Amino acid sequence: MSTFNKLSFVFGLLFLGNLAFSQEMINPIIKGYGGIMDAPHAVERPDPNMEYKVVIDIATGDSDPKAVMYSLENVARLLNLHAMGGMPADKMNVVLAIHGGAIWSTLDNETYNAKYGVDNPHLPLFKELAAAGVTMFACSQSLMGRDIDHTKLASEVSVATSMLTTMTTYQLKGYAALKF
Amino acid sequence: MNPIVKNYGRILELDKVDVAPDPNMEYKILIELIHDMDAPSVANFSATNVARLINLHAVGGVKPENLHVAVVIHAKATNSVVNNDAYKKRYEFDNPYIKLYEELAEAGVELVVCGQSLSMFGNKSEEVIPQVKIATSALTAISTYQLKGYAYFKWD
Repeated sequence: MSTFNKLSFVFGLLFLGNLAFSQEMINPIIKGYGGIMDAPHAVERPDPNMEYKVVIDIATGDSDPKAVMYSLENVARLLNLHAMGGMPADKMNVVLAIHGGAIWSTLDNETYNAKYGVDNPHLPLFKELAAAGVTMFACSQSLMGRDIDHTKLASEVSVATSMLTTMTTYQLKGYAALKF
Repeated sequence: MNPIVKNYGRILELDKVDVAPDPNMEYKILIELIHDMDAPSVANFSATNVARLINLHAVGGVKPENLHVAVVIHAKATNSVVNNDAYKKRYEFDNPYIKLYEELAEAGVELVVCGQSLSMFGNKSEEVIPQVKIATSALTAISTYQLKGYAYFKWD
């Protein structure tokens, strides 16, 4: 990458950042995470008469153990976006199948701290997601494959046979599927 | 051959096919487009592949009135939905997607762009071509169409 390209990339990011911040971010459901922009002009909106059932394959981790993984923050965005679009909170049913590189987020604080030397930044997010009715599963195969003790997980997270079986089961129960 | 979308998505007609779409079914298909805009003078393959999908279902025996396709455009693909002036200002080329989106809309495709991405990339809603509707977000459009029974593809 030439110096000019690098510079234009950096300025491009700054420009995007400014634009994003120039519009007020809102958090209708998950207050601490997943801020979004209000879009009252949108014509294609969620249907508030429908029950929303969504299962999300959470696969992507993050190299910085102090940061909340974007794949998990995006769940907060999804809830906030549906609320902003007019969905009543009690019609949102969201299930997470956490696995692969994202599995490290599910450790309890002591175990996370022992591994990374910092508190688990995902715990406040999990608390807010659980309060909003989100069901969180960790893939047993991902846990065992990394020698993670299944009794030392965040209290909001329970263990699933696997991500693959959670994804098939919930899709067959009528859940829309997403992968973050 | 191009049974429905004439100028995009050319496909081959085969002599012998063992597995074909079911002509008695209603086909509802959702496509998520997130392709990059690194070559802004030509429409990205993923975008033109929507035309292929439609032509393929047609040659496979699905009647046009039984084919319902929705396209959700967001992330890097967002800037493809703006009018020619706005596109030219950004990329210094005419917008090659306009003709494609016009033909897709004519074939009954519902085109929506993520309102979040649209603002993030600095586009104004009045710059969006009339064939494309603004959605609350890609995530809400993708959940909604899936829950309405649309089969879901993601093409990057």
